[in-house]
Amino acid sequence: MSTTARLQGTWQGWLNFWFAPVDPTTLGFIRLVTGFAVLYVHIAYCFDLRAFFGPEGWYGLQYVNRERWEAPTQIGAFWGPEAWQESFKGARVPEYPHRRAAVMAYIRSLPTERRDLEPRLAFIDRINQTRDTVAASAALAYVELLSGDPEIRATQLKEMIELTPPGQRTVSAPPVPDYFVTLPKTGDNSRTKVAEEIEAFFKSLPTDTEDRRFVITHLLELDRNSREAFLQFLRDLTTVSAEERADRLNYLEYWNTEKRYAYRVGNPIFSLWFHISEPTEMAIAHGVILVIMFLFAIGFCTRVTSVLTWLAAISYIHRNQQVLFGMDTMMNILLIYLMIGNSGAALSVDRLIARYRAAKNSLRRSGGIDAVTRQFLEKPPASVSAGFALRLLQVHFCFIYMAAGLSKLKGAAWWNTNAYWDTLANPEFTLIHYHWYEWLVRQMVQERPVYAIAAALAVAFTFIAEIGLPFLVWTRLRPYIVIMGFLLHAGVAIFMGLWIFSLLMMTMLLGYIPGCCIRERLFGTKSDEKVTIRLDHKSEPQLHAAALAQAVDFDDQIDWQPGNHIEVLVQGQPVPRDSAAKELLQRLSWTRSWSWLVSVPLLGGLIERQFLPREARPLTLELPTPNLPGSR
Amino acid sequence: MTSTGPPRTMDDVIPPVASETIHRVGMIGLACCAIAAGLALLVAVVPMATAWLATPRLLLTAIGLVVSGSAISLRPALWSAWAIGCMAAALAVAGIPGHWDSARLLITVMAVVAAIAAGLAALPPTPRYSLLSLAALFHFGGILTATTWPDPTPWLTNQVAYRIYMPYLTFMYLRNAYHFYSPEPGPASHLFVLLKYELDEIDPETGTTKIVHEWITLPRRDEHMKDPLGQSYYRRLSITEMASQSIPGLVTGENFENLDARMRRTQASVTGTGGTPEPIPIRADVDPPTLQYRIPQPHITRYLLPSYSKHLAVSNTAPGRKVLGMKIYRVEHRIPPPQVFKDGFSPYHPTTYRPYFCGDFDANGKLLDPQDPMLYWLVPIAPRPEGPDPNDPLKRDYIDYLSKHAGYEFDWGRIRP
Repeated sequence: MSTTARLQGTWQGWLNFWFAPVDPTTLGFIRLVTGFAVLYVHIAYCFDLRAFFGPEGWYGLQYVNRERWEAPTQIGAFWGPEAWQESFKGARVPEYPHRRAAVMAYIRSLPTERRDLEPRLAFIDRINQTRDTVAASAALAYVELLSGDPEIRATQLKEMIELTPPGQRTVSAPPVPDYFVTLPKTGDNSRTKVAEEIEAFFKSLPTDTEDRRFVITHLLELDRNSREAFLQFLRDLTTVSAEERADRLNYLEYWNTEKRYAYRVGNPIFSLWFHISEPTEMAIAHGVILVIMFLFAIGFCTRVTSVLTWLAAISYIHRNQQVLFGMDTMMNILLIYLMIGNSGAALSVDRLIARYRAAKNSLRRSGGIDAVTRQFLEKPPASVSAGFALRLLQVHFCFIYMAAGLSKLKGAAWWNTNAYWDTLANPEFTLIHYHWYEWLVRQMVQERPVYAIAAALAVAFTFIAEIGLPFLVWTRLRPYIVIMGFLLHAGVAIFMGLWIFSLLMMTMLLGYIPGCCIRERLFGTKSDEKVTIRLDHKSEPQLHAAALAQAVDFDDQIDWQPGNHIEVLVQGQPVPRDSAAKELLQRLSWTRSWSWLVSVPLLGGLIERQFLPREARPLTLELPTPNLPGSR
Repeated sequence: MTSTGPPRTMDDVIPPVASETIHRVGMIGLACCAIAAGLALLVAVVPMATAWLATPRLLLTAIGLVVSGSAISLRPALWSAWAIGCMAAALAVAGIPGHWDSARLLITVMAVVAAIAAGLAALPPTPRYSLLSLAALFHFGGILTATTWPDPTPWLTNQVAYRIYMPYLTFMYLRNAYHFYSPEPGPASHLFVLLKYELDEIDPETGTTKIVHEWITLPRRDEHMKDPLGQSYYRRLSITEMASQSIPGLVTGENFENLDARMRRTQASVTGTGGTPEPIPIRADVDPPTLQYRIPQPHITRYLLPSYSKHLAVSNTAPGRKVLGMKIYRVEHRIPPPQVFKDGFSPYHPTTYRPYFCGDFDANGKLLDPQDPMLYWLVPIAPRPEGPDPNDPLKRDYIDYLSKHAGYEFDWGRIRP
């Protein structure tokens, strides 16, 4: 085979994998389950709307706003020698609150004029220029040990200049670093100069001994480049306005980095709850969202409601990430793919409307259902977007399982099967708060081999399911590995109480099931009870009623016959008008369960008017004559 | 299909909505957004109108976007519908009030997506599928990046993630690495909070306003299982878990912080019997000493704990009582190993809990004493191997330093749901 043919074959294979039209029933079923799960999750928010999403919620609005506007993204260089450095550019302060407060106070106390600042930084400049980290550390340590009393300190520095032997000192002093000893006594670069610089530096430090120690320790902990960056930051503060200075200091204190060196500032997130915080407005918005989610679940205007549902769900997610867990991740993934694919093409109100329109068009044309329309009514047309969305879901699920399985391999608890115990006996998740469950588990661990075998099996099952699925699901073993996945999540639901999470994971697993299987389960057993309707297909009200009946006839029970007028015939006898609608609904298998609604006052009238329009001639319903023995 | 003849294909069964109708609907949406943009222009000229024009602008923008989006939904394959939607979104960016900045971001993204979709819809199938394939590859590149992002992170992942994928993954909430219950399952975390209230009544003994204390614990099954499937409970479990991450690698080694913290720790004491100070021991039988000091991750000290404390102050303040402050403890609930459990040891025994003191906060979320000797240290609930203290009316087989440290007795009997 030539290279071109091979490439074409590969490309065709790629197209067949990603863009082949498929029965959208699977996606529709996923939408149904996901939609109601999402609706439940958001109804549950009613109890905690203010606590989670209000301005003074667990994660307050002021904090989340600051995070989304200011949070720095830091990253090292991509190219060149700097790419090998692990540290980031810019000044740093200690992460620990007590030490950071001291360092920030020190920075804020420094002069704002460069000429006043320089003498106070000269000592740090000096030690940075040595390039000898040991010498630099020794010099800073020396300063830390100097006395806070100015007179004693002056004596200590004087004796440092003179290199007074320890036995002859008038005051106790720390040992003079070797770096100072090697300098001449006087001159530009001398011990006298060092003493002046030390004194200027010491005077700029906090007077409190502890705080002073924190500042010097911070300088000690910085490496040479970081110390250089720290000095540069201090110097740059003298070149900006007071407002800018305050802003930079504030940013450094909060984020422990400089804004100007951040690769990116802020988080690109959006949420309705950033902008709506008043209780009534929140309640109204939340109510509207629940309605939209319900409409999405039932598949009404799905192309629009799917997008709105995802936007709404992501609003809650982005507003307060502290309340999220794995369930929200899965919910979001499902909503994204349901938004991309034509998830309203099946098992939806949209599909019902489409059936109605198709039936009406066909009945208007010919008084009956033509072959192509019948094909359309039997199952939704294959859809490329549904196929694409399902493939995205399938591949994404493989990533999820692979990541979950491989990451477990890093844990000793999974290798020695102790992880099983954690899933069995974790008091916050499992059923162990029930005394009967606690008793059961206790019985199981009475004999170690029993427990050990159970643990080994459970762990092995988890690994096979999670690591095996991404490979086996593309083979003939798909049904078995999908069943394993279902069982795994059933276990998570029962033993860990994560019901919605497990439901959503199982919903994702549905993506591997062909639409025909779902269709067979839902519509497989067709009723063979036939109904005949006669109508005048030029009458618009009759067309509406007939199309409605055809739309809810999922088992293809209705036969159509043209007529000059609408008649109801049962075994050759007309069905009275007032019972024709109920009779019809009782005959159709998918409307049987709610045909009793016709007896409800007002509502019954409304239903009757839809299926039996107000005309001079009633709609005719003809029932088949049963084949009795001896009859012709 | 002819207007009277039978349909030939599935697409003919329901004739597509006429493009004129779609354009009309789309233009209505566009017009709404254009009016909103016009109002924005007016606001620029007449700043005083900002406040009362904000709501109309918001509503017009929302309606306009939904209407133009509906037009697209009627026929997604029509490129002109997407083009109108793109223009509507572009106008909406200007039309939406400025303080709805996150919505502006969203609408900008929508405009870009609509522009791309218009291009895709206009293209023949092969180039369209090629571009969609590239989009899928980009998308899964991001998913792969997200799954390899947790520590230890490859340098390449870091570079690619931050430079390319982070805005996309963050925007779409696709940053999860799916490392569920791994590498180690780990114990769950609680928050134990001792609230300090001031009541609107005078204490007759002191002559000042009455001060009372109350412990609250989070989460609690009996209190927080508000819905049948426990969403409220599990979300609170997430709240406590989010505050439980500590800076790794710090608690060992002879670094300054460790030594400094240990030095301060030796000064920690509680009021013992008779009012004398009693040191809080570092009990090696509870946990190795090197693991008893855990500094939370920076974001927890920076904004999470202050936010939590502020929320607790607001939500627990009621008429007649005002929260003055609180002590917060992050509590790990260890699972007793099977060899201990089998002999009847309760999974709710107090010694299975490991409280770490996270600080004393005021009602505004400010940490009162960053140099508290016990800050970020384990407050032991230590076993009494010799058995209960004969003088203890509750006959406890453990020493509860949590209650001693907090200065208020914690009722361990209520811990089990």
